[in-house]
Formats: sequence, C-alpha cells, structure tokens
Amino acid sequence: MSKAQSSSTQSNIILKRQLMELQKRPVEGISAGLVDDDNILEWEVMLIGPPDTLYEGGFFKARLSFPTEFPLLPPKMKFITPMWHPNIYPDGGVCISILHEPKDDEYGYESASERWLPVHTVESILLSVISLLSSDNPDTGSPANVEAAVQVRNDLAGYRKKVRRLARQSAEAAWD
Amino acid sequence: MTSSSSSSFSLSYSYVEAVNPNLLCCICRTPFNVPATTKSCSHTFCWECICSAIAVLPQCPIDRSPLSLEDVSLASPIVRHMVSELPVYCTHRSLGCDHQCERQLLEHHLKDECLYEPLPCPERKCDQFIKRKDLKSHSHPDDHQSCTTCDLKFPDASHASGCPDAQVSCEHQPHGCRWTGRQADRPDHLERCPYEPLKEFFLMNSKRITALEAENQRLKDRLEELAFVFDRSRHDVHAMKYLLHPWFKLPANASHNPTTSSSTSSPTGTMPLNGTDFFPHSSSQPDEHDPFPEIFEGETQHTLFPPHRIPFQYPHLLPPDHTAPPTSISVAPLDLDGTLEHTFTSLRDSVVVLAKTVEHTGRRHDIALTTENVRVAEELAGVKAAVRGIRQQVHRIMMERVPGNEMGDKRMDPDMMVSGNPYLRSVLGSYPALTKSIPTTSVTKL
Repeated sequence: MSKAQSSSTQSNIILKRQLMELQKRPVEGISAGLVDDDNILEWEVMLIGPPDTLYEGGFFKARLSFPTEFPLLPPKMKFITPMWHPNIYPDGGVCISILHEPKDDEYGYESASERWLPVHTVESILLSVISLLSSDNPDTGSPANVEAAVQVRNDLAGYRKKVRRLARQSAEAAWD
Repeated sequence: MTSSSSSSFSLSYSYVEAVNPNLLCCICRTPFNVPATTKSCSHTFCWECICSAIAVLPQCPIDRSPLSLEDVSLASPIVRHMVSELPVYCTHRSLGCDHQCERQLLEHHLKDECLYEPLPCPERKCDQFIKRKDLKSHSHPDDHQSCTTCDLKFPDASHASGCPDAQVSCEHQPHGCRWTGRQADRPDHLERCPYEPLKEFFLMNSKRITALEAENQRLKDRLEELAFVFDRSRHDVHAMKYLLHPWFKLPANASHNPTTSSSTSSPTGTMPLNGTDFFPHSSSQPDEHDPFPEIFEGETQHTLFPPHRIPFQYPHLLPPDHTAPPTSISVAPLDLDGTLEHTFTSLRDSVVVLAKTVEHTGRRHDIALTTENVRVAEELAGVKAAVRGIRQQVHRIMMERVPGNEMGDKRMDPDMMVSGNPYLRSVLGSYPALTKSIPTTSVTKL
C-alpha cells in the first residue's frame, strides 16, 4: 500500500513542480495547463508551429496522460488538432521513441537507447515533438500513419501542401 | 516503511533558497535525499529514485549503462553533507511554524520542538492527532465531570457551550433585562427581548461613555498639572509681594493711613539694600494657607521710611572763619501710597536735586579754595621779600665784619650764618619750610 501511495504522491509532486516551472518560465512555443484542475495526471498543451517549417503559424493542441509511476514510466501524448505526419497516428497519438516504455520492445526495431528515461521532463518531451515537426524529411520507417508515409515518399509536394493546410486550419480553429 | 516515508519527505522539503542544480536528482528534480552514486558510471541520484528506476529497468537513467542494485552505493560524504546542510523551512510552515534549519535537523525539530507537529493523544481511547501546542488544552469528554444540570454522564457536542438546560440570564442583563431561563431558550428570548433592538444603542452608548471617561481622565490630569502650576505661581507671588512690601497693594486695600507718626529711631542716610534686611521690622510672616495674607500694616511702613533730614554740613571742608550759615536740604518722605513707579520717579527727582546741590556746593568750595590760595600766595610773597631783605642785610653785616681776605675763598653757608645768629634763627624758625626752597616753590603756581 505504502509503495503505490508513495509513488503516486511522488509523481504528483514532480508534475506539479514541472507545471509550475513551465508556467513561471515559459519555453518558447509551448504553453501548458491542466485539463481538469483536480487531476494533475492529465495535461493539455499547446504547441506553436516552429517558424520556417511546414507548421509555421499553426496552433496544435495535445493531451499528455501521465502514469502514476511517472517519471519511471513515460506519459502518452495525443494531438487533438488533426495532424498529418508519418509518426503521428491518425487518431493523434504521437509515436516517438522517447515516449516508449523502456521495458517491452513491442516495436522490435528501436534500439533501447532511444527510449524513455526517468530523467526526461515534460519540457524535454515537448521539445522532442517540436523537433519532430521541424524536420523537413520525416522518417518514414515503421510509420504510425502509413498513408502519410506513402505520400511523403511519392508526393512530397502534396504532403507539404496538406500539412500547411492543416496548420492554417489549426490557426483558424484556435482563433474561434 | 521508513524508506518510503523518507522518500515522501524528500519531496515535501521546502528549501529556503534556490539549490545548486548539481545537487538535484535527475529523476525527482529535487536535492538528493540520501544521495547514491553508481559505481560504474558515477552518476548520483536519490537512493529511493535510483532503486525504483532499476526496478523498472536495470539501466542507468542517464547513460543507459547496465546497472544493478549492487552497483549503487552511498555517495561521497561531501555530497551527503552538502545536501543535508541545505536550509529548509519547517514542514508545518503553512500551519504557522516559522522555523528554519538545516535539512538534517528538521527531523529533530519535528520530533521534539515543532509546536505544529500533530502528535497522537496519549490517552489510550483517543485516536486523535493533536498539534503539540494544543496538546495540553486538549481534553476528552470523559475528562469532564458529568453535567451538573442535566446529569448527562458524558457531555457531548451539545454541551460545547454549556449545558442546554443550564439556567442563564439574558445577555442584556447589565442593561436591565431580568429574563432567566434555559440556555437552549436564550436565542428565542433574544428575538423577543425588548433590549435586543437597542443593542446598537447600548453599544454606541458604552463607546461614548468610554470616550468620556477617557476625556475625564485627561481633564483630571490637566487639572492636577494646572494646580501644580498655580501652586508655584502662588509662591512666586508671595516672594514678589515680600520684595515689593509697602508697594504691594490689593485694589480694595488701597487706602492706608499715611499720617501715623514714627516713634522708632531709624537709620539715616543709608538704606540697606539686601532683601532680608530691607524690612527689618516686618513682624508678620506670610500665611501659608492664605494665598494673599495681609502682612504689611501701615505702622511698619512709617517706622521703616520716616521722613528725615540730611544735615548739610562740611566742617572739614570749609575754612574755620567761613561764616556762611549751615544750610540743610529737606528730603521728602517716601510716598508709600503711590505706585512703585511714582515712588521711583520721586526718588529720582530727589537724586537730581541732590546732585545739583552737590555740584553747587563743589563749585562754591572751589571758589573759596582759590580765594584762599591767592591770599596765601600774597602772604608768602611778602615773607619772601622780607627774607631777601634780611638776607642782604645779614650779608652786608658779615662783609663789614670780616673785611680781609680770610673769607674770600669760603662759600657762605646760610645755615651756618643763621645758626650763628640768634635773631635770624628765631625769625626763620617760625617758617621752617621756607629755609630751603623759598625762591621756586608752588606759590608762583597759584
């Protein structure tokens, strides 16, 4: 009993501190808050599309769901804003290696060296996602969104156009 | 159990100042609690954090090198000391404890000192946790005697503010309400109590009374102060009155009897000026209880300042044969009925008259002296001529008597000549001063 209790308190306290930190000293392009003020484990974050990328000018809303074992285990991240990216599932789930639990190698292709570490923070996760979006040529190996990956390979211009359209739409949606 | 509690402890520390980032655990992001270092890669974490991380994955959370519990040992003493000496606030700061101490001392503070630390009630039956400072005042229902009014064995929450059946009186009793009844009925009574609507009035009134009492006290103090000042002034007035003596008058007492004749002898010419001797005959002393006692009687005034005459005679200055009749100046008696200023004015006038008289006398005296001197000079000149004549005669006689050369070289000594001549000696003896310096004496000056 004391184990689970202590672990959940620990994750609560760490998350609270990280949220406070992010709100006190905001990182450029990131804004974070809670979905429900009573639940520290569910975050809603807003990423601003990095300049000089396809996502420039877009506002991308996402949810972070933390396990009670945080920071020993990684959170799950899911975009609410529609995204078009080989590494983002059609339902918005983000598939990056640092968010994968270190134990089980369900994907079988990643080296363990790329996966979650307890030393990661919300800030480092979000920075990784921003860097994923900033990349001009997305990695299409083992894609989360196969259609997007195929379009990247076959019709890069069309892919870019679609991404830019989504970014514009996201900006409009954010203003509504 | 202990390790788990110490872990949650580490997260609840509240540090006084920002901590050097090198002392922060990468996993929990707080200063190390029981710092542990990996032997293989020399990374440091909290003991608790690295153990739970290894339980999930046997890797170093920083460089992913393989790691097992055996590879983790306590960090070097310097690291342990640095974190255990970090200043922290007491865990019960939010409850009001302002204590600040090194982290390693906090446990001791909570265990033995902190007044806000919840402690289990020592009573066996009681399972409450009470703040240390409230422990003494903490009591159990069992501790109470059974209620005397309603015989309830263990008074419960309903007895928090006394037994509902207890006889109480209205809270407006001081204002005159005579209601008494059960405590439980008091709220009902208050709704009907005729004094209740006047509550505000009573409150206002009592405030005013308090204010007035305060003012009263202030005025009393002021009065005391003034009484003191008055007392001092009274003494000053006494002193002044004593100094002013006959000139001090009350308007009602302005009429004195100035005609009383003086019978006692008084010093003439001189007036003692020191305060105590000034009124040597004042018999009555100022009465301490009467602010303005009538201490000076008319008679004393006139014994002190009788009208007197200063005899105007200068026998030693006037020549004996001076036949001018001795004059005397009459000095007016002191006017004790007038004001002090008036007295001063008249005194000054007297002084002016006196000064004039003195000047006049001096001048007359000078003239008399000059006249006298001229006369003496004339007399002297006559004598001088006579002496010269005699001298020539003597000379001739001597020359006749000693016609030879014996006396040719000898200077004639008049003294010898005089002493040799009994006649001359008798003549000159009556003018001894003339024998030596007749020709150039001050006679010419006159």
